[in-house]
Amino acid sequence: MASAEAASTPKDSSKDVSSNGRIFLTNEQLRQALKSGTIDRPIKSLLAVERPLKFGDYKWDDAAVPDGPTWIRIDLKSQLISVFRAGYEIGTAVIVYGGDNKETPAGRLHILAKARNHRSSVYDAEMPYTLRLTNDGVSIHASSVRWGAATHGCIGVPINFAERLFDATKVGDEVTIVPASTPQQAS
Amino acid sequence: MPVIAGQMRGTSALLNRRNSMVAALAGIAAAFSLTIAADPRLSKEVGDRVDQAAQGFETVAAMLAERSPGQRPAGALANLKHKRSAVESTAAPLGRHVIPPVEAIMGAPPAPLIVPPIVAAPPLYNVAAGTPAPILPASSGAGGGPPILSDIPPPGGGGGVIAPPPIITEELPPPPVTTSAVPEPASWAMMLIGFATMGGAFRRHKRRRGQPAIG
Repeated sequence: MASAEAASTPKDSSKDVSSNGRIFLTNEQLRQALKSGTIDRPIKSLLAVERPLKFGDYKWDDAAVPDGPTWIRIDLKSQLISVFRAGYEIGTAVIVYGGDNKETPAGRLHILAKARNHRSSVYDAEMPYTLRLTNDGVSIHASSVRWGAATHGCIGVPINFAERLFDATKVGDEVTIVPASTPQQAS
Repeated sequence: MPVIAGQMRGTSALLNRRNSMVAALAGIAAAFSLTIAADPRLSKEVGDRVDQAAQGFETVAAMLAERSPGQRPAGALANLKHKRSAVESTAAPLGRHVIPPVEAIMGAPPAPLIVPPIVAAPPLYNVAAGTPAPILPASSGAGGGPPILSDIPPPGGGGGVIAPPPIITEELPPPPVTTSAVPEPASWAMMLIGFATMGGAFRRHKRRRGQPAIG
């Protein structure tokens, strides 16, 4: 299987796809990513994703990843969430986010609280594995992730991904939300 | 002299034909540029590839863009939650969970919405056989060999196989294919500019052919 994966990987010395499904970044890639603002802190590897993710897809691989600071990167433009621990990406998924008139806030946030079985009193809806980000209710939680859907500001992720994300994070962990349009990503 | 006049007529005809072709190609190139500028997703992909070519390596942004399902389309979106008609807010476990009233977003995809129940799927397989080895870059270690974690079965056929966890798709029918009924203004402009350029080039070519040869 590794040989098949290696054969399908394009010949590119800068994309060093190891056989455990990770792409380790070179110094040039890391430098360029920091300079362009794609990431705001150093990372060591990304998960090797073989194809564009569809709504409902996710990938999680924290096997043998050491303990360390955990942080989350949410890209509204790409509709993706990435979870990093000790600089290694351990999970990624397609998200749904706030629609018009109720945009998801961008910037650097922190997990304020966690609730495994939260139920919204305003919307009378289950919000499993809630990670509260703001005091007015913006959270990351399990949701029906499908094309063309929008939330009232929360970040919706597939339920199995939400469960893993809930167990992998703690109160105080950083969440960086990149807005749908930013001049930093032009480079 | 008839031969020279004929040669000059032929040469000028060739030049005129070449000029009209160059003008037509320039019009098509301009129209193509307008297309790329009009479609943000196209310009983003082209920009990423240009950026990659300029850098000489694949950027992190490009790698993330490759896995993306694309940008969310503009227009009407389906609301995932609807506000309760009579709200008696009770204290939520996390304290006040109040979101200001938002008008429901009207509109939905043409097909009827199907909201599948959230069902827990079987656990994701990412169990390593034996003791997990530390993650190391492929280039580390003497000889630059592959990292310790491998999904190649050990020699002799023994032991387990560590396979990269598959991409899990939980749910969902494919999204309805919708096409815009009306072309964008940029598309109209692009088409008209292209036609005008080609028409002008042909007209110039025709006009030059009608002029008497200088002999």
